[in-house]
Amino acid sequence: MKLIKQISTLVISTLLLSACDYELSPWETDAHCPGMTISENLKWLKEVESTIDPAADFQFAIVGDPQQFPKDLENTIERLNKNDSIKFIVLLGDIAETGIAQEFEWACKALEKTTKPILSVVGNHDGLSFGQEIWRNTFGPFDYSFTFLETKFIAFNNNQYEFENVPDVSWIEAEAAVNEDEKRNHTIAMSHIKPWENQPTLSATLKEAGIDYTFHTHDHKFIHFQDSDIMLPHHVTANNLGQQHAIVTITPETIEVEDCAPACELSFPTTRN
Amino acid sequence: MQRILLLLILLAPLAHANESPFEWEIQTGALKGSVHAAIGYELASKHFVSLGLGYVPSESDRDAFNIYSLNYMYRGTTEYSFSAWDNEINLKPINFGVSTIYADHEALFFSLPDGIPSGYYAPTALRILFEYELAAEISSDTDVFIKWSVLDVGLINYARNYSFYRDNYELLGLAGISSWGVGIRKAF
Repeated sequence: MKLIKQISTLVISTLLLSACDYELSPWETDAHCPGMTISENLKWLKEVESTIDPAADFQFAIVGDPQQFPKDLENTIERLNKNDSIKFIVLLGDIAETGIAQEFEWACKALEKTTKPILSVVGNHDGLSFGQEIWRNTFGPFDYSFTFLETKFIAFNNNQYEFENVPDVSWIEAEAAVNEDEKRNHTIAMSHIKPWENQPTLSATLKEAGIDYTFHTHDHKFIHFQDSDIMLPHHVTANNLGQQHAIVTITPETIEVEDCAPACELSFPTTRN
Repeated sequence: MQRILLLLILLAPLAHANESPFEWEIQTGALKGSVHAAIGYELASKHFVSLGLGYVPSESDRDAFNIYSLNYMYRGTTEYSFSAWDNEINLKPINFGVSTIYADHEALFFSLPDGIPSGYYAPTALRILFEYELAAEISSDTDVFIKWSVLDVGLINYARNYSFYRDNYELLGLAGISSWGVGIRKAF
């Protein structure tokens, strides 16, 4: 009996040693997240786009604030995998709660189940600790844009407590401008946080720049509004707890949003005075 | 703080009375640095506290920094003896601890930086580790040990998302949240 206990202890220890990581500190800057870079996913998105009729309607999903709930994120990804109408997923930030490499790795373990490209946008919690370094190494840029079936998506960083000089409004305006030879149906802006109260002119600036809709997360609840004097719809997706997410349907003429908790229902913006 | 800890660790061997409640230990890994030195004290039977100083070397995108630690450990008296290489070795499998660690790097904070509202974030420089240790007594006053540490957020996530870790990592998911290290401990 004694020998069995000794052998069991040694076997369990050996297994733990071989399975666990040797980490110097919680504050490492290298997270193991294969396949999550924005450039890899944009390349994948181009391949997806090449298989679709250019005039077709399409859907994309928005997932936000999955920090601390990787199981819900995994379930959401598996749920979205089953929907062929959804062509890609936008992950709107707060992948980590405290900016620790392990937190990014847990989320990535769930995200790697995807059968669709995932475009990630940095959240305020992702910028904590050495999260900014991890983001650059794992995902890439904080601001970027892409076009899918004549709709332009502009992803920008507006986490003003963690980053300096954000958002880069002149960059957004330049990205929103339509080139002479370009055919564009819509221009969509995406950031983790909806326009801050200390940036009261941002909505109007975005509208003037040609933005048709903006998407955000951060508030952990569904919000959908537009100001009566600007009429630029802002949609906020709830956090991912309970597999909450949003699905956006794009036609050449319209943009339609569904709030999914996880069952989906159409959402319309409330007009504020 | 760093100098006081270093002084304590250096002076500790002078307290060499028999049955001294003091001990020192050196470890690597398990989230306390590439090297971590600590001086420990036996508060009561099976109950130990220690103060330590660890060093984390620089990386291409991060400067080096120190880790200060305060640890409490419960060490049970259960032992399994066996012989190896003509030596009697006592395996001690019941050792559980908790550490508070603090990192002194400018990118991390204890108090919120200016401009961030009160209570917006918990301190990023201060973390809690939950530890398990398998120790082997290789002489009457010396133990070597393997340590597994789980970060505060790891334990919270594991409790909230048990099936996720169980399904995606080995050993009931514990491999997904644990980091290992090794060390040696010697009584004065």
